[in-house]
Amino acid sequence: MSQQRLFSNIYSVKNITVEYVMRNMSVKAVNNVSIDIRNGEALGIVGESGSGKTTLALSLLNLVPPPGKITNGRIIFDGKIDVLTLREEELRKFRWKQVAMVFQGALNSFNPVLRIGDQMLETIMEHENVDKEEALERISKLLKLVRLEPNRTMKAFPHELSGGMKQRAMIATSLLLNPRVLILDEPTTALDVISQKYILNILSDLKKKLEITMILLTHDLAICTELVDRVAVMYAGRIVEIAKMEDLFLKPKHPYTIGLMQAIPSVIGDVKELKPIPGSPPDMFNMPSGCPFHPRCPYAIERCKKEEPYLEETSEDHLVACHRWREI
Amino acid sequence: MNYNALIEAKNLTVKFKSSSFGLLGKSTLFNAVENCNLSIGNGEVVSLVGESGCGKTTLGKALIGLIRPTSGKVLYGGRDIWKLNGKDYTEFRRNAQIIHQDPYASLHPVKKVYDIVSAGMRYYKLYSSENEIKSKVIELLAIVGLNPPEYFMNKYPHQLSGGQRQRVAIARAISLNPRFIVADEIVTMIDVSLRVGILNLLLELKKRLGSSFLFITHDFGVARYFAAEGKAAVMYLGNIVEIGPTNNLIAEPLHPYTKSLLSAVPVPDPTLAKTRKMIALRSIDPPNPISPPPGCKFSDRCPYFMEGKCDKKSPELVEARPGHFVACYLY
Amino acid sequence: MNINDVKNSLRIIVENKRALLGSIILLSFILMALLGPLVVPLDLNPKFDQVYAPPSLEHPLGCDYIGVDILSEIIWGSRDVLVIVFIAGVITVVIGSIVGLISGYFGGIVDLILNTLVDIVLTIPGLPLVIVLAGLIQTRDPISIGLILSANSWAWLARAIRSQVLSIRERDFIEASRAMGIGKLNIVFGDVLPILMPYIGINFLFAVVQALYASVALFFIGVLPFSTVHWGTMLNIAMQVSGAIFVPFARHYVIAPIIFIVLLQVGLVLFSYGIEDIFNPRLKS
Repeated sequence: MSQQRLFSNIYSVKNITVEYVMRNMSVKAVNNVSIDIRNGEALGIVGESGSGKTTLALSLLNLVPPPGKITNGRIIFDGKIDVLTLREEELRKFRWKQVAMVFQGALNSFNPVLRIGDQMLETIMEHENVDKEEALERISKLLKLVRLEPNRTMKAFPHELSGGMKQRAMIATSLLLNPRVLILDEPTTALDVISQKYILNILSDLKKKLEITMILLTHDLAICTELVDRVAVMYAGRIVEIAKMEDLFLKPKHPYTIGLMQAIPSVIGDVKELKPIPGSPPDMFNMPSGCPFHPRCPYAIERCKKEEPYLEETSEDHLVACHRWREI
Repeated sequence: MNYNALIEAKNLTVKFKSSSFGLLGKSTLFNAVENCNLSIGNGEVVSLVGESGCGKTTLGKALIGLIRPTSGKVLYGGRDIWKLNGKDYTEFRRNAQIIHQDPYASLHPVKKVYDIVSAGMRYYKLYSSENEIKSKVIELLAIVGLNPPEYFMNKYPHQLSGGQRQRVAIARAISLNPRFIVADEIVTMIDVSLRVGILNLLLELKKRLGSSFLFITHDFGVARYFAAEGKAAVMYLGNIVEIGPTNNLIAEPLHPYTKSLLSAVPVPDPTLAKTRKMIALRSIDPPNPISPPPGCKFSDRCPYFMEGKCDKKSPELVEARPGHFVACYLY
Repeated sequence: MNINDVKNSLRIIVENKRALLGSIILLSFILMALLGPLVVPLDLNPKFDQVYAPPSLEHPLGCDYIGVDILSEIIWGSRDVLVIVFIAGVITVVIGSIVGLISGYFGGIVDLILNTLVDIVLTIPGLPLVIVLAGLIQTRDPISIGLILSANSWAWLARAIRSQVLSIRERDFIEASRAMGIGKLNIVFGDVLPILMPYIGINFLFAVVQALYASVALFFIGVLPFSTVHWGTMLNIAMQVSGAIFVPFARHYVIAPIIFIVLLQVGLVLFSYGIEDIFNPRLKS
């Protein structure tokens, strides 16, 4: 990767590999991924099922569930904390205080028999030594930031809120301890389009107001236009392209990214030009040799079947893992 | 209404009991589908767009007779399906099929693909020998792109991927050559890069069989692709609020709800995304379907709300543009 | 069912250690019941010089209160026992499944009637009912005894199956069959029943165990006709006629039938672990 970075990196991920070991086979959910996440940016990680994006995000918190294991690599947080070597107690403090994550299906993460306010209060009190008044003050402020009416929301039980409201409350909860990084895994998948747009607006707002770094995991490429600064596209456990959001959409370089854009129906654009990506998603147990995308790639050549491509810089801040990016 | 309609819903209402929380468990009735009129002609494609909970699945299932309407009628070839006698009802049943959303739940877990696809043919004794059934199954599997068919025939659903299971479900649905198919969010649970493949398959089948489709989805992009040459209908809390030719509806949405939906859909174009502004609604969250606002159900969120008019009576569908109907007092 | 399914089932049982052990035990019992009487003679003539003879080479389980070899009694008794409990198990499962399937799927008035019937049967205590019936219907016929033994147990299974059917009924693949116009009975026995096979299979084995204890109890208290070789009767005689539990040197007479009853039960339970696997399509490949 190129030198001269004016930003400092909140996360420096080097050669991370996460394997799931079952019986006599092992599957690489994340395969030798390296990425620098910049302080204060909103990074979108786009990938379909099996791309490894959730596993990669979990590894940032050293939360990969067994039988998964991080078998290689280092993750440095804020230039000083080596995440993978943190011990139990330190890890507990790291999670939620420095980095918070809103999981997929978080709508169901609230305890159904407790009021929202009580649950949020408990979260603060468990991690910090503040008095109740200050905690309530903080809760109220955050709820207002996610455009929920504080009093009504705090007194409510989860089932009294709609999907969109629960998601916003969840986001507020994740921000209670002032983390520096917020990871959101498919935060809008289960929501209607209007709630989705609203939440993306709120997240954009939060990013500006709280100067927080955001990592957004999604399978919906289009969402990235609403919120993120950079986009990383993942396929078969690898990052195949990273670029500034505008560059990715206007000048995609990786055949998978290009294929994806041509395969997703939208309300704009010419319907006649849509075509599916041939073949089927990669079989984690039976990975193709060389570049994992080659069986489905219209530009594949002999070299692609034998040699795995690594991320190369094609222009300022635009990396692609493809042997043939120059010709495409 | 269209005199050549194959399937028609007339003033269709379906009431459901709501399961309520709390000790006194008072269950109330609410209208999942309220007073809907919809007609689908021979070989026509109608996409039904709306958010989850708007009643689109209920309407779709009512059109093929899987759910009984509380009031109103469903007509097949002009006749009420709930009043058909044995032979006519069987004919209707064979001609109205469904493809479900969840490919993991819509196939029998303990049966092979062969048995799943041939179940209908077997029941109606369409073929006299096992060999004939076998070659028909092979033909169907090849049509839906599961090649080689002999390989897929003997598989169990859990051995297939989501996309493959969905293709099996499609093969089953077309096995009786139905005239009308309801496709309920069939690509929602499929990987994004594979969706267009399934949609293309369905479009090809439409050409080959000449069937009509009711295509249910919450994704306007998908609706636009599939129903490009047909109609789109937008549902909100049980009502059809707008219906018209798909391209017209998307280019010029008339109903405030349709407008806000289309303005909220993310587009894969950064420049466009920056300039698009979502239409500001008076309330972001949809109301509780059990207790909608009086009059027009969208009135509590609508930026064009007119007091005294919109909160009195629910508007009827009027033809605001040629072939393009909308239920709103603005027109 | 074809040759592949049989081969698969055998392979599954062999791979599952518990099921394998269970099936070995059961097979031994079946062989004992079928072939035992052909190999081992039963001499019911009293031999007073061998009364309560302890286990020895000649009489591996010892002798009973009139000097008859216990092992031969057990072997000859196993045929009766197995036939009766197997029949009882089959009747329980067949009646219980049919009632549960029909009432669960058809709903409405059919469900109302069948469910009420099930409720009535369930309120009657099981063992006392069986005892009363056995006492009233004096019979030696294994099928009749089997019916008596399942008088109550079918109802519990019907109730359990009904509730499972209520939820299976709502699943998409059932709706797809309905959309095709496939008839209700066809759906019940063609689509719903295959899903319940593991449950029914396991319940069959439990019904057999239940019948085993019920039949032993009936013979033990002497309600069912006297048959010296039935294990229950042996217990009866051992306890009541000869007070074997109080007489230390006659303990083997009590223990022998108990061991075999328990062994049979263990075999059945262990084998039930394999039932689920046999019906699991994921293991068929």
